[in-house]
Amino acid sequence: MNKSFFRKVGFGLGVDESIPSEPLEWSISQIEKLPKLNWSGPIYSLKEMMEFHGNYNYQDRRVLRKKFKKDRKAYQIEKRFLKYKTGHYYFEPLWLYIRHNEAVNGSSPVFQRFLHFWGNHFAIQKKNAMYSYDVGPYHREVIAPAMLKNIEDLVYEVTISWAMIHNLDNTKSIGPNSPKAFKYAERGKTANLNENHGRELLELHTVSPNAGYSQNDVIDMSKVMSGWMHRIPKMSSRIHKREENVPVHFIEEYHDSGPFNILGKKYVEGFGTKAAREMLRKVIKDLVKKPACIEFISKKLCNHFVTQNPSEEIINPVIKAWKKSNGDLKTIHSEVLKQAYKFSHLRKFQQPETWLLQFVKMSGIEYFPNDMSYDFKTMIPRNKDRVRRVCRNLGQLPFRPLQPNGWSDFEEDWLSPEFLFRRIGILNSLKQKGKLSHLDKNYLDQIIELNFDNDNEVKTFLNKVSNNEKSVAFFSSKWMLKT
Amino acid sequence: MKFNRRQFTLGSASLLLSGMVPFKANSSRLDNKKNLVVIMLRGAMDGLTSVPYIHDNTLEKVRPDIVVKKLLDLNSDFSLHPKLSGFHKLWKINEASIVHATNIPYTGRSHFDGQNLMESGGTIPYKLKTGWLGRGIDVSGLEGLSMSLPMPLLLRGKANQDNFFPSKLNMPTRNLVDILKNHYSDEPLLRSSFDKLISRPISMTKAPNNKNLKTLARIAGSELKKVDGPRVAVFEVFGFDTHAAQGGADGEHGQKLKQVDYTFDVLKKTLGDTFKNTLIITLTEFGRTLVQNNGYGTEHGYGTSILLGGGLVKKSQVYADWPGIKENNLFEGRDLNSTLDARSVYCSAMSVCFNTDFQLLNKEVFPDKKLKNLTDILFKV
Repeated sequence: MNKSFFRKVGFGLGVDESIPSEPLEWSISQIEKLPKLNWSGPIYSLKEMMEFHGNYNYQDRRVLRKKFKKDRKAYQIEKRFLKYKTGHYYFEPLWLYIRHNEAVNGSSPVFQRFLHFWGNHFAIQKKNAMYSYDVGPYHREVIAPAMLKNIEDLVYEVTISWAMIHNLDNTKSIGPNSPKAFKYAERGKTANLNENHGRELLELHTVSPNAGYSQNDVIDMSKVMSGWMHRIPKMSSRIHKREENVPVHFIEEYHDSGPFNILGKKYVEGFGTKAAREMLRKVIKDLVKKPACIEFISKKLCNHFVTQNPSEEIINPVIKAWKKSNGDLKTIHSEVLKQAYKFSHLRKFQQPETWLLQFVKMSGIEYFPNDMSYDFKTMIPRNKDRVRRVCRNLGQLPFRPLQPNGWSDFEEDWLSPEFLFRRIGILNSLKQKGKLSHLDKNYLDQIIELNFDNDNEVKTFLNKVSNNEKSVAFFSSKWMLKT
Repeated sequence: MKFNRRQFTLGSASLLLSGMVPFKANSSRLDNKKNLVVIMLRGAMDGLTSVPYIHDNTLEKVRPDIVVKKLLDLNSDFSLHPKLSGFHKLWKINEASIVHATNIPYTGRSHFDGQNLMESGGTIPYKLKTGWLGRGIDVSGLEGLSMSLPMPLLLRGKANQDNFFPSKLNMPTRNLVDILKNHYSDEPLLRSSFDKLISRPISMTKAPNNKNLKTLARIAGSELKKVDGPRVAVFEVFGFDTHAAQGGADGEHGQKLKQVDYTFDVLKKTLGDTFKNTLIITLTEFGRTLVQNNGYGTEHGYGTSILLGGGLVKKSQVYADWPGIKENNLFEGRDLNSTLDARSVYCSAMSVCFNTDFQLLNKEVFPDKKLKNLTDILFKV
């Protein structure tokens, strides 16, 4: 039956669910359309989040810092109120609860798993306050819809998104051969590139260092990217107060006119703004067709969904599907699911967040606050911020990877004594608080029968454990840690 | 490994600090216990911001918006970033030195390949699965414990090290522990991690949360001070990748250097007499470009500097075969060059702190190259 498949590509089955008769079809049907939102609490659009962050930036930079220039203590007090007013402490837990709700209670857990994968592949690092405002809507409005398109669309839309353009500093880049650079030169100043985004587009998002690109490739990639930034409003403009919190535009004045040499191909820009704007898409179109890119991302997908260090037998069908479909993501995802189903006997150590969500779903524990509304006046109550504490304790705050390569997907990075202790310790703490008392033998038997092919083996193991510790033992078991 | 004689009462939930690696020293080594503290600076620390070259005005010309002002005096060629004031105090009493124009043998400018190599000590990214410090621990016959949630590659050796990061959580009952121990027996990594976990005293799982960097450094110091306590500490500071807003004295890079300075300063105060037997050393993946960009930042580069502090430092000095920062001196026309394989410094540091022969460490830990023995030049032997 391959019941482990429901945990391999989703979050397992809850006791109120029945086993799908056709697991593969069940999974593939979920990646073919954008799932309907299950969350009924507050939710904000990308545009609204830009306004909140814009207000935070403007008030802090232009008002408070000037007003309290000589009184640091008063500045800090006022800044704390500004943070309440602009939801600084509220949005990260809110977006985490929305993410977790869609995973646990939503109609398409498999879609959510792919969304988590791509969100981590195109990671936004915590560099300043922006991550608590931008990551949630970036996943929901940029990545999720693009997952139904082509890999080229996904890479392109992520690359020019507000979150990524700012996170990788492209908005600070000026093409050396651009009108803006010439203006700089007239004033005796040098304009230059910011290579951060161009480099990570090659290294992390597409071809990886396996493509053997050189520093010149990075420079030319950065030149192609120059000009993708936020509009810089004049002080007199109405949108001036929104600072950098406005949609990303292509501004030709900052764009390098080339020509560009990237991975052995010469790109010459045609005349006019349209040609200049389209150069980035043109290059991305070529990048996602490179064997290095196809192999790198296919392997990463199989490593995440099938098993660590997957063999060629597992990866090759995904590569083939990619090539045959010209990078159609539904086809690629579907092939990954087929491999996960075929090789469901191979096990993979689960990242802390995935394990947490499987525990929440299968145990039916009370996890989500009844009300996630916020008054924007005071500190967010502890019960509405629990999600962040749990994730921090487990060592994985999904919206705050420490570096732009996202959270590791390798067992050795997660399986330290302390990481193992955190999972067992959290379960033990919940047990001590009486939160797992509903998980009696009957309940656990139901979960086991829904989610495990080796149900007799699991039950035999639990028979050795005293009744009040069965739930801790079950969710700490090797079958739950490695799926 | 048992830790029954030590009581851990410290705590932090911050992932910014990776913590420390206490070693239970072999009894024969107790009389001559030396401490090694490694501070990993992730994101590429700019050696020309931490230790600017002031012999000419090149930096002022190429970094008009981010050149650091109000520098602290070192010598006629180099100065020190003002946020490194604690380090500067050590310099004044011959307990700090600098190795400049150095780097690991890596020129690819990728953070992740670079960080893999700075920790593994190899030359091909992802080829080695252990870290140079972990291998040094193995060669020297020691055991380790990292105070961090993850186990940094730097510390991974043949033997599985323990790691610890205090929290308020509790272990389950002894009965369940025994059942799980047996249950994990056919999963090697799971089993060894669990075995390490259950050998801890209860005190190690009881600690208040504390995110204060100074507190952690203070606690690390008090543990290193113990005769049979830790012998190695490893800290991680993230955020040196300043493509934008690198700034001058008060910029982002300066703020990160301030964190590094806390570690030097607090360890000096906490260790007391033990500081004379301690060496603190920094490690980063590469330096940054000479010229600033339009976002008041710098790009990925090559050569950088290493900060060394502690009583085991021979004298205040900037040790460098200085390549110059004029255009024709630069690596690929843009970066400070590296004239010394930084692994020579790390191999020498381990040799001094672990009382282990340099040649043996070179052969076992960095076998791909004959490194320069700098123990006499940089350290009190």
